Amino acid sequence: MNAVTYAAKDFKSDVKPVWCPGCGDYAVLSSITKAFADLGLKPHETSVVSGIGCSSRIPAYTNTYGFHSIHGRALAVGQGLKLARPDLTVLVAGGDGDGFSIGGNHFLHACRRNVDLTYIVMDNRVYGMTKGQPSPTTESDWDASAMAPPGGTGMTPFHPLAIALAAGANFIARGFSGDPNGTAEIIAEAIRHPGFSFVAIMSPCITFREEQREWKETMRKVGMEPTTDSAQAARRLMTDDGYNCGVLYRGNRVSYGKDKIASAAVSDLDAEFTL
Amino acid sequence: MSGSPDFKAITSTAELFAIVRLMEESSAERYRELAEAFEISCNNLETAEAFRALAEGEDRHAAEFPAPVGPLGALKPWGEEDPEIADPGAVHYLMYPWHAYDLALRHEQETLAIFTALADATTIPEVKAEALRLVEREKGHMDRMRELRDIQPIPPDDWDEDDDPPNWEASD
Repeated sequence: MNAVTYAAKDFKSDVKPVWCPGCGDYAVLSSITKAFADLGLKPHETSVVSGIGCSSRIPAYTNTYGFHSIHGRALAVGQGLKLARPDLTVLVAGGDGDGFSIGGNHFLHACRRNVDLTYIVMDNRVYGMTKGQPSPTTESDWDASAMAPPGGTGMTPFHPLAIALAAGANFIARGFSGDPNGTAEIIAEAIRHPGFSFVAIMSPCITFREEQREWKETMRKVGMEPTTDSAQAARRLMTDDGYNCGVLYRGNRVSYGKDKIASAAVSDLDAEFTL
Repeated sequence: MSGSPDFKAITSTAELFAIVRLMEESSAERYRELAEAFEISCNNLETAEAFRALAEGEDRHAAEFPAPVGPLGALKPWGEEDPEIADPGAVHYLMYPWHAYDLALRHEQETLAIFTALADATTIPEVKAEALRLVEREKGHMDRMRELRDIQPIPPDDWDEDDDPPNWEASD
């Protein structure tokens, strides 16, 4: 008897997304479910954890275990889940504001800790759910909304891939929602790769950043093989203009937790606290 | 981000049918997503209905091809961009049903171009014959889509002007 296999649609729930028409997150949802199916995962062996924001609604739209957690803390929840249930495939997802501002510190230390999970950030360089404030990845001079300061924030945009490398992430890639098949392949590779895998997916917010429609023309496949050399990856990322898609770095660090997963029975742990 | 079509990847009519069915199914899924988005997020019910009708049409097109038996390999002969699947970046929250059918017409045109190129490029007689049949089929789809578009009310010139836009300026 063959084992049951699941198609991408089996990983989608019956809850209908409330994203705007044309939002890139629809395609990211499709890429995630396609990657799950291509990897032969099962819904009950998979979990999607998120924070807060438009893209963080994604656990509701997937038919897996899920946790729509609190703002910026998705990685904390996801790491805890993976350490408690190493048998689960854990995918953490959210947006650039959730992940790099409110959750910026968790991001740094999740890279360092290198728990075996995949972190997807749907980056649209704006806080969409709260109507268009600049996020950490917003261009410093963007002021097309009254929600932005005149002349822009004047702050250098956060470079999540370079920071992930510096902090110790074990796999670094960039995808584009306009290339859902290519993005699905990247996500599948990220899940397969041991340790903390970080995938930034450029996902246009055509409501508050209408000019991002042009990303379809500006995004390009990275023209070189991924490197396992962090120094070489650093040089590449420091000259990266934010439009190169593909796997940029594959590290070989050992995942956190291989030797730290609790092996004691719950009754033994209880006994330690007996007065 | 587009890749060049790899017509040599299609080595049999069975593979071609599987690819076309997958294209139609994916297209139906995208139109259904758009229908839901226009209904749930925008309360633009007329355009939602147009996308729903397009999704049902694509469902019927998919059913014209046999479901493949067994697992499919990585069938992506058109590169990364499937011409049959609506580009989500091409929609606007204020668009009219006319625009929905016009978008669908453009995608049918692109699909026709792909099948025409396949018929020209393939060296396998059976695949060539089927590709030519698909060209005729797509011409029929285009005619039908043009009819459906042209019976819709034509949108006003200022259809995309919003008195209460998402990105309001400080002076508004």
